Order: sequence, then C-alpha cells, then structure tokens
Amino acid sequence: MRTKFYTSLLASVLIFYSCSNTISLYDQCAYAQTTSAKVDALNFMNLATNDYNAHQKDITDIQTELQKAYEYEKHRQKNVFTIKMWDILLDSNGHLFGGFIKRWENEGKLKKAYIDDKKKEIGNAFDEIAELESKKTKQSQASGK
Amino acid sequence: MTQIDLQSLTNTLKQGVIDLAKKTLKDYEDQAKADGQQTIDSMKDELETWGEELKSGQIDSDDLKDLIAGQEDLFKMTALEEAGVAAIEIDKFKSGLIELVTNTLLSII
Repeated sequence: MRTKFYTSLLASVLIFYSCSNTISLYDQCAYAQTTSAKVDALNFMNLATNDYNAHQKDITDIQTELQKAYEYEKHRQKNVFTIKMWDILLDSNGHLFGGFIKRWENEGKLKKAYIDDKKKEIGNAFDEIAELESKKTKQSQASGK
Repeated sequence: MTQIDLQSLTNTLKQGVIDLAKKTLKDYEDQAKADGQQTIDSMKDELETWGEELKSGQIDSDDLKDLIAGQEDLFKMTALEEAGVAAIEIDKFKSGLIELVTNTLLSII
C-alpha cells in the first residue's frame, strides 16, 4: 500500500516539475542570430563617419536583420529577460544601437573615436544577450534528468 | 511488502534539499560576484579613456554624455542577464530536487 503511495507521489512530483521550467531552454538558432547580428551591427557602425543620408539602404538592411532576430526572440516561451534586453538595445530613445542610429540621423556624421567607444558598449550589450542564451539549460540536459 | 521508515525518508530528503540549495546558491553567488566586479572594472577603464579623448578633442561633451548614458543602459542589461541566470539556477535546483526525490524513493521502495 505504502509502496503504491510513494510511487504515485514520485510520479506526481516528476510530472509537476518537468512541466514547469522558469526560463526557456537554450536555442542554438537564437544564439547564432545574436552573435551574427553583433558582427554585422558593429561593422555597420563604421559607416557612421559618413553622411547618414548616403547609407539609407545599409541602415534599412541592418534594422531588418535586427528586427528578425528580435521577432524570433519575442515568439519564444518564457523568454522575458532576453526580450527586455533586446528592447533596451533597440530602443531609439535609449543609448545603445537604436539610440546610435537616431543620433547619427540627427548629427549627420559621427566622430570616429565616439563610434569606436560606442562599438565597445554595443558589443558588450550583444554579449549580455548571447551569454544568457549560452548559460540556459540545453535540451539534452533537460531531457536527461 | 516493503516497509518504509517514514522518519528516515523525511530526514534524508530534508538534508538533501539543504545541501542542494546551498550548492545552487553558492554557484550563483560566485558567478554574480565575478560578473559584478568585471562590470565595475570595465567601466572604470572606459571612463579614463573617455576623459582623455574629451581633453584631446577626439570626442565632445555630447558624445561623453551619450557614452555614460549607454553605460546605464548596459547596467540594466547586465541586471537582466543576472536575473535570467538566477532563473536558470532555480530550474537547476528544481531538476536536482527531482533527482533527489527519485533516488531517495527508489532506494527504499
């Protein structure tokens, strides 16, 4: 009788906990998109020593790439921390990538030293997103409990 | 039929949970401390560089204000990353708990 009870208890505990991850599992595609977007965004920033209006296509292209990565993240379950990080990174009223584009538009051209400093900040911001992803539990670890 | 010593089982699980919680928290605490220290060190270096660039005219005061504001945004992102890592540790704790309960019960059934 007791054996049955404990077996049922065990099964209940396992079922409850296996269905209740607090944060999304690691996603290789999300990680690859983030690191790829980082490289493209930092290369793109070098263009800002030139006139903003001469690079409309480059600006649209990089914004599209980043929006694709952001949309992918937005549709993953239990991904609130990563989504909030992307929000800060892309916010045009903020001071990372979104703010950089807006400032370039307002100023027309930006100084090389400023761009180099900003690239470090924005590179670090991308790294925060990628690092969180890389620390997430892998599917193989989750299923191999 | 197998007889189960309920008191012994409870004690084993209690001790197991305590050990598991200590280990999980310790791992997280160590990581959070290291990340926090690295962030502060990195900002100190950046401020020195920007100060020199401002003096030499490579950047202006608006650039400097924007860079400092960027650090604030970066701190917010670091905080979110840490919160995410804490959530990962909670999941690890839950996973460890399942293993603990499973192994403890299987050893006595």
